[in-house]
Amino acid sequence: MTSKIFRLLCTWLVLFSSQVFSKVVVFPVTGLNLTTYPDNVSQGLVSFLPDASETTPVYYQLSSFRVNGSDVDKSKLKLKNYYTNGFSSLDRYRAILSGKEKSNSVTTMFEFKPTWYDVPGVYSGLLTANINANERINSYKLEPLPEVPIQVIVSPKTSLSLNPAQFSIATSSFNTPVIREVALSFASNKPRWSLYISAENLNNSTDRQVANDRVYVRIKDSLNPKPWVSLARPAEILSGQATPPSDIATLEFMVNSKRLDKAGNYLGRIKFFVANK
Amino acid sequence: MPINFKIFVWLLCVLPALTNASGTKSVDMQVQADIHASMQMQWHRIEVDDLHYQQMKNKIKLKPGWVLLPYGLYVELQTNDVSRIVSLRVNNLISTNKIDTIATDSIYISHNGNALVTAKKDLAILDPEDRGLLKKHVLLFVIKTNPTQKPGQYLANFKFVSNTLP
Amino acid sequence: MNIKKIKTLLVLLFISIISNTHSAIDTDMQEVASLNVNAVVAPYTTVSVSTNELSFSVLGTPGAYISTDVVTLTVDSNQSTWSAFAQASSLVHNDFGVADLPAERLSFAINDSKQFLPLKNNVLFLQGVIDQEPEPVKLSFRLTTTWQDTPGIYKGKVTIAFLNNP
Repeated sequence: MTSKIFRLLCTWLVLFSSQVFSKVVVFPVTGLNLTTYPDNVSQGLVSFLPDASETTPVYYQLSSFRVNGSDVDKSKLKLKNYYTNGFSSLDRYRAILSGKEKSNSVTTMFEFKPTWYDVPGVYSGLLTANINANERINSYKLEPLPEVPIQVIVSPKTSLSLNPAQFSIATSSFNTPVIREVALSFASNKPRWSLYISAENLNNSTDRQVANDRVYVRIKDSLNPKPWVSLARPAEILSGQATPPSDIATLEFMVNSKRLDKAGNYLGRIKFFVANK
Repeated sequence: MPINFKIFVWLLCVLPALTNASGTKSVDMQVQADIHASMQMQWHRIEVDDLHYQQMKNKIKLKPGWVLLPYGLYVELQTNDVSRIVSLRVNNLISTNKIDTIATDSIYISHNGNALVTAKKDLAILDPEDRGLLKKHVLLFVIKTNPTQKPGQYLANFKFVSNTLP
Repeated sequence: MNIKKIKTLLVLLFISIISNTHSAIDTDMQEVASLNVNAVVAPYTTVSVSTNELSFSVLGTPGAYISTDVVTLTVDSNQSTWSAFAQASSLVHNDFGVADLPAERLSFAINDSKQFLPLKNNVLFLQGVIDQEPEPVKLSFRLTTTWQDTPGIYKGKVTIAFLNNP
């Protein structure tokens, strides 16, 4: 925590000190900070304030964009301002200043919309100007343009919808099982995930119980029925890679009967878990 | 009474029975009883001092020359058979020395104190109409004496004949 | 330290690693959905009888005849309480016009009891509760006949009905 604050402070000091001497000031000085999750559009504003001596057009693009040590497609980050035609990707130079602002600030909107295939993590990058510092100084006798840090946090997200979300089922034997099907629609941006399932003991109003070791599940396979798996303990039923919402499986459930079970309704829940690996 | 009200009353009466029927389960066992025809009969000789003898004797009016034998029969019988007939058949009396007889045409029977009947024919003591009833009979024997009969002691010779109607 | 102790320690170490690994999975799991389940245990009552035919052979004089057919009844139910009732119909003669044997002529006894209960109306004779293993019950049946009963074949039924209280 302390080192994070220290790094932030150092960054701010460097930016501030560079901006004191540049002709373009960027607000906020920390650059662009976004937090988002898959399929969610996250937008942020950065203002560029030139002084009167800035009469040269200024363009920026992403010079670096990485997450977890790997390069990221720079076109994922987009901007829109007075000079662009809608949102334009930052894998190439885009106009930020025309040189005719006469000390008026230009606000640029940035946008990032991760897909389900974009790994969760901190996407860090740097916007750099089309004219480098040496050229600004030597050729144009101008102060260097600031670099704008970019940080986009993509949160991990997993969603599972069940159809149906509840069912009634009569207890039965393995010879003549009564089966209920539940379709799973799943999405996750985790690079690898495992789906677990567990059952509570089922209880009725008179405190009698159908123990969870009599609740069974299997993945539906009409051509080649799989063996039943008891839910006495959490069981891993599926695993995979990052996926947008899709129907990943249909599960079949049955509850094994016992002759001495008292007649009635036994209620409980079956829970689905994703392991954070 | 409006028809809707009638239906309502009917439902009110029927519904409890319907509900009860839906909550029950039952198993039937078929029963077969095979009852055979049967009869029970018991008889014994009664003597002069027997109460039955005395009771019936008082009812008999004997003509001169008619002798009441000092013994008789008490019979009880009962049957469930719809076609059973039981009769008393009396044969000739035989003297104790087995020489002399008294023919049945001289023998008369007092049946429960009723008027004397000849012993030449079988005396019905159980008819189909008597089915199920416990029949009790006191039978006394009267001899119409004649000079041809030898004096002495004679034994009665009888049997019970059981027949069924076709 | 001998080999046996070393093996025991290794086994214990292995078990602790496995349980720790399992604990790590538990704490790192994120619940993403849950399914509400209602498991329905259907009520049932199963009844088995060793025979569903009772026969009486009344060969002798009228009286009380116990059938040689002993019915072993086993009731299995998953409902809180249940009751068993017995009732007989009258026994009808094969021939038209012959009087029936009324239902109360039939009676039954449970297990080794000497007391026979008449089967005229629904007779409650057995009750059970859940959580008990079903125990078979032996039922003996008795038919009482009279001299008034016409010989022949009579047929009827005995019904054992069950009422459950969920």
